[in-house]
Amino acid sequence: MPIPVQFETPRDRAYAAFTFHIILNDISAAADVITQFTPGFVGSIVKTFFVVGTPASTADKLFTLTWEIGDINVDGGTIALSSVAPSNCTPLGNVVASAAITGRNNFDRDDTISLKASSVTQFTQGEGTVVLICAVEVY
Amino acid sequence: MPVPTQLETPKNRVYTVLSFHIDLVDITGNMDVITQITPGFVGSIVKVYWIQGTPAATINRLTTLNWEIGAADIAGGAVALTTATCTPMGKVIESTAITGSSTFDRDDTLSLKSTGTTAFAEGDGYLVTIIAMDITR
Repeated sequence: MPIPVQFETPRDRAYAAFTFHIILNDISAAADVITQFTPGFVGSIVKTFFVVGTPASTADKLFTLTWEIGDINVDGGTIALSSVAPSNCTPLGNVVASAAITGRNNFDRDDTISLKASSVTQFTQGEGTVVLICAVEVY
Repeated sequence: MPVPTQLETPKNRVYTVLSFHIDLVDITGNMDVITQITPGFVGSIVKVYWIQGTPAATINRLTTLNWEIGAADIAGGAVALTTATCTPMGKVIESTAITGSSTFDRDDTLSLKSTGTTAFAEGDGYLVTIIAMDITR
């Protein structure tokens, strides 16, 4: 028997979190940071941010991270990391929020997700964790 | 009208995992290790543990990590790291039992704090946090 509408659980209320450890000085130029992982479920990217691990101390280094579904950039959701004063890559534990996610953030079961770096002035130290929160369509 | 029992969605049966790589040498005192992340959903912290990466070798170093929701420590869930326990690579260090104050709302922040710290000279690992989501809210 189908569940009556009034008893349905709203869609997109389950979430999956992905965390990716990144060494900042490994990103030497505009390039893929993560190339085509397939979550394997239907969902949407709803939140992403960076948590500083080892701080970056050398000034004037920067890059921007952008999520891509298939070959298409998500609208918004970019994370701009920078040691240009005032640096957001220090202290330990600092959370760098993304730009607002405004569209093109839905993915299908067989879609791939990639993370790209752009506008790179290579860091000389520093690391942290990129967190990606996806709403999962549960049925 | 209450939802009939047979149609209820079980609470807290969907889980997600947050894992953070941490260099032990970056924890230089009693401090924030993670400052106010907002998961953006309703859930509760149900399990916390540490997986050792590069072992710590210099003796007599220690720190204890605990999660905080807003400004309040969760009850239990503290992960005590010492040089003696932070080896070999792959060692899993469980937290103390989580006994309460572990539920967060959609707009709550989570922070990770270190206490009782004598700074490590080397070593790293992953702090793994398992979160049960309340998919009914």
